[in-house]
Amino acid sequence: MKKLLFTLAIAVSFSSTAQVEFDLFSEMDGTLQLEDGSTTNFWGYGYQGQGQGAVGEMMLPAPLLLVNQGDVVNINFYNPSPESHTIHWHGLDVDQANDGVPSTSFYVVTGEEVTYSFNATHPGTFLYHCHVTTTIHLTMGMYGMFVVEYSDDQLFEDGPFFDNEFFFLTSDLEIESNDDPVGAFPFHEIYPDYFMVNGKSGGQIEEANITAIGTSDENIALRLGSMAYSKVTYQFPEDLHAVVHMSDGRPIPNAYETTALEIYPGERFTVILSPEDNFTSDGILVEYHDMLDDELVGTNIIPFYAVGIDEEEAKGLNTVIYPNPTSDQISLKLTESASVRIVNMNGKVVGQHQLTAADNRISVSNLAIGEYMIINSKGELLGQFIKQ
Amino acid sequence: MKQVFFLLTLILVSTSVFALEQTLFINKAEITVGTADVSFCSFNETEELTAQSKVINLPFGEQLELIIYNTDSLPHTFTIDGIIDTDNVIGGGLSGVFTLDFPSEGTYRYYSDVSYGKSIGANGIILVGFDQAPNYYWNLFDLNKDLTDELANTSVSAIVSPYQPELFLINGAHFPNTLDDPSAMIEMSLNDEVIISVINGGNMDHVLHFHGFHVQILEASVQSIRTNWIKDSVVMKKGEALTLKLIGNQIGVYPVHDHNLIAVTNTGFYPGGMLTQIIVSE
Repeated sequence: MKKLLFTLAIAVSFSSTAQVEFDLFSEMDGTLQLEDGSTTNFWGYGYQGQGQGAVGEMMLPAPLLLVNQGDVVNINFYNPSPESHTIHWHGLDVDQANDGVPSTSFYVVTGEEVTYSFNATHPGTFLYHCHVTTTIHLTMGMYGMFVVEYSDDQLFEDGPFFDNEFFFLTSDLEIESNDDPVGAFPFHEIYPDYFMVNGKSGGQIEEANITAIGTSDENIALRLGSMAYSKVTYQFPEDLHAVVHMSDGRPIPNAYETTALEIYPGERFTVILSPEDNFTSDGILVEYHDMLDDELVGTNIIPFYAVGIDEEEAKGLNTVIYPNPTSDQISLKLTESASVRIVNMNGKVVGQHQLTAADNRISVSNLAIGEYMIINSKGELLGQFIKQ
Repeated sequence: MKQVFFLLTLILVSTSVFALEQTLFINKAEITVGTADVSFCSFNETEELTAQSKVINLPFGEQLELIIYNTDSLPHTFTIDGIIDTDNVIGGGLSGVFTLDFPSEGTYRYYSDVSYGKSIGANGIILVGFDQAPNYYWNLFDLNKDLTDELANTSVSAIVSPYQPELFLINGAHFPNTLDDPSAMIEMSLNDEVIISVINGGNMDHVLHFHGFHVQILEASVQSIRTNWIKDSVVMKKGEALTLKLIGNQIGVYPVHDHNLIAVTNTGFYPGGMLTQIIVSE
């Protein structure tokens, strides 16, 4: 059984050049561990070439791809799987040839490698997914999030600023269909019964370090997208003051505060949280409603930690990071396993990794030159390193 | 059972000089949709039942003078949210006359507010104004054949749970037949602008995803907060009417489809359902 990644893997482009490139592949032999310990099948994409454990590993959801506005994006896509697939760049308004629809673009047949190319013209939150027999390929797991950054602290030109950002992709599946995709027909009778945030459900979410962290003097951007068959509703606690600023990769003209945000299949929103002083909220409830009758069919909670990053906490920790400074990778010795984020000095998360209680290696070759912090799932600073 | 029939004439005060006269027939019978024979109800221009109800274009400021003949044996209403309420009943075999004013430009959904009406297809589009650009019309509908038959013969009086739709229609047709409908498939020249008038007469929410383009929501009857949002995935609440502006700023062929992906099937077969195309040429 393939090892599963427990975090939403991130491939980041912070290159100063306008050309960025990612290498993805697809496979159809994934095994997804469900919250109750059982497993089901998934199909998906993986990211090759950067990041420990990411090479050749298929992920659910697929790697989060981050680029900057204005980048020319090239996606090299290799399909060794037994069936044809594509990648549709959902919301990026790419041209017909790169749209990923088999009948109007092209199939990527078994063994073929192609390159999708487009310009990242608008900042915002987007998605990508397979568009072959979409009804089943999507529920099997072939989707991911694609984010175009305006800058590392502002959503769009003349838009609001943020101190940190987090990425949440909701989805669902019908276990019976994933157990037996051939038996999933007829496709209009897919009724999801397993509900996820970044590929995790229930208690898996916190275990996988899928959280938001912030303090009352910070603005926390949430990039929200949904590939669920259900309607998803985020229930924001009042004391977090959630303001909706963007939808589908465009600023909205009437930014508004809300405690309940509905996200339909394929939609994306960007929300900024501005927690009150002494806020008490410790989680954001995510509801899944049946699209047929609006019945509540599932829930998840995204933990919200009321902690900041206290550099003093780094003192005395038994984290050894070497070499430091570094140019391509770092090694960490931890005394216990941990989910960690790599955060730049602007407070932006640029990487997430699941580490073990031993030697761990993390590739940092794709990071921009600068100083970085390594923070665990409780917001504690484990150490710092310098990328040369 | 004795039925009470009456003729209702509603005359609203208006300062408008011009009026558009339109005759409609409420027809209910069995019809073939794709390969399925289903019970259906529509507002048509003649006594011949077609799945697409009449689309009415009304210049803003003009009155609409309607004569509606109910060819069904059961009473129906003629209802437009915010314009004319459900008290306006047209008895079976009778007719009604309505003179209507519309306060603003926009897409309006008219319907028969009975389970054997709106729930089996009796929903139509009135587009008021927005006549500066070519217009396209998408009347969204979903149905379960057995349930539709039961609603038509009144053996059930409401959508029953669990609702399991199996056909998903745009203007009374499903993909690929949607590509034969010049109102459903958009053909335009590069950088031209078109208006798309959309109603969801179906029995569930839908969300339309545009490939290749974002559209501007000019007005929305239910989600008014989304007015002027620019979206590629447009939510259509059940019963909602909205008006979209599309600028065809790149050449090519691009699908538009429901992103609730059970709705891009025909009785379970993919692709089908609520799927059409935008074709932009030089």
